[in-house]
Amino acid sequence: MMEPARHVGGDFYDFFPVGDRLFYFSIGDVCGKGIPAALLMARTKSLLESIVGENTDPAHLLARVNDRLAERNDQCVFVTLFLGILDLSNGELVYGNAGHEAPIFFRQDDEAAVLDQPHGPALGLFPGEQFPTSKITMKPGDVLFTFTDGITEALDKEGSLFSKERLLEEVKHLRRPKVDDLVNGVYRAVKSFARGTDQADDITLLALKLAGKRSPGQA
Amino acid sequence: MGEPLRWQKIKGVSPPIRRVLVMELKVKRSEPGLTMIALSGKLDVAGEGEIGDEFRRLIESRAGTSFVVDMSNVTYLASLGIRLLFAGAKALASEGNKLVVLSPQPMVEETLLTSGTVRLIPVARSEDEAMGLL
Repeated sequence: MMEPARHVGGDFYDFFPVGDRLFYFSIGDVCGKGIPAALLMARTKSLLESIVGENTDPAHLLARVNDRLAERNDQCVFVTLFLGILDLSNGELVYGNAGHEAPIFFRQDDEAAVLDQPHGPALGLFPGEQFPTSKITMKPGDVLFTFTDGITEALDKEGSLFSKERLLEEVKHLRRPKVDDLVNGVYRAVKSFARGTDQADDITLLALKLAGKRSPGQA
Repeated sequence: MGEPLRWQKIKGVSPPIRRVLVMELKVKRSEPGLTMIALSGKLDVAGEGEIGDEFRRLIESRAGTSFVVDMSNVTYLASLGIRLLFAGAKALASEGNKLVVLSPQPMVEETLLTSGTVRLIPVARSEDEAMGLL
């Protein structure tokens, strides 16, 4: 789900299968608003799409896009990005984070937790940067929930933040949530929290659930 | 009630609309080798629009100094604000100087940390610590 704020936005997401076995997904936020942000967003998306066809290692993807965006970047524009490559044959998820909000992971019957792994800086700022990646194994029913800061930084009328803590509080009781319920539920919670205020930033939510063997993945 | 303002007497002239400023930039210290400024308000798209040019002019005119940016009264930091600080820090670094953020509020600090820019924009909790980082 994606809901832009008043200006042309800088949030984006993408997902598609790579070959027979792998599934690529990403969620990102470009700094700024308006046409320049939209152009940078389009450039980042197409760079990722072209590179993932050659090499599916998230560390490689992040490093390549980072170097391309950092070329002649006198304006210091940048992109935060979380991306993952899910192996549908065994549920192995390799992911990397470049300055983006850490996602929330729902593992079977455990309480939901923030997937707080080491991350690199936002893309475009430090040429030559190497990005750490992490690996988890998703089991059928596990859900990975990614989002942009339009969620955590939504403000209510008193100027309080929705915050990562409140988000986790909202969802941590859920067990194996349906992706639609999760995305719609969080969206409604944020809208209700920020009632009577202007939406300051784009809101994007992307949830990925590993289904059983017959239906590989849904987003 | 005193005498109404003159514009109210002129037919067809609307009262001026007072724009509420969301950001303020103050220079606290300006000395050889050091510029200390204080920002206050929301450093979002509107806030960046208000103080961005002034901030960039200051960086340019005081590029031979290091900057301490007191952000204790900044309540929100958007990506454009990070970009403003980063571009400033990069310009200063090219002349061997630094930009240190002083006493950011927890949410602003978290935004800076998440963005991974802290290696070019270090954060200090006190003026002494900021001076030590320069």
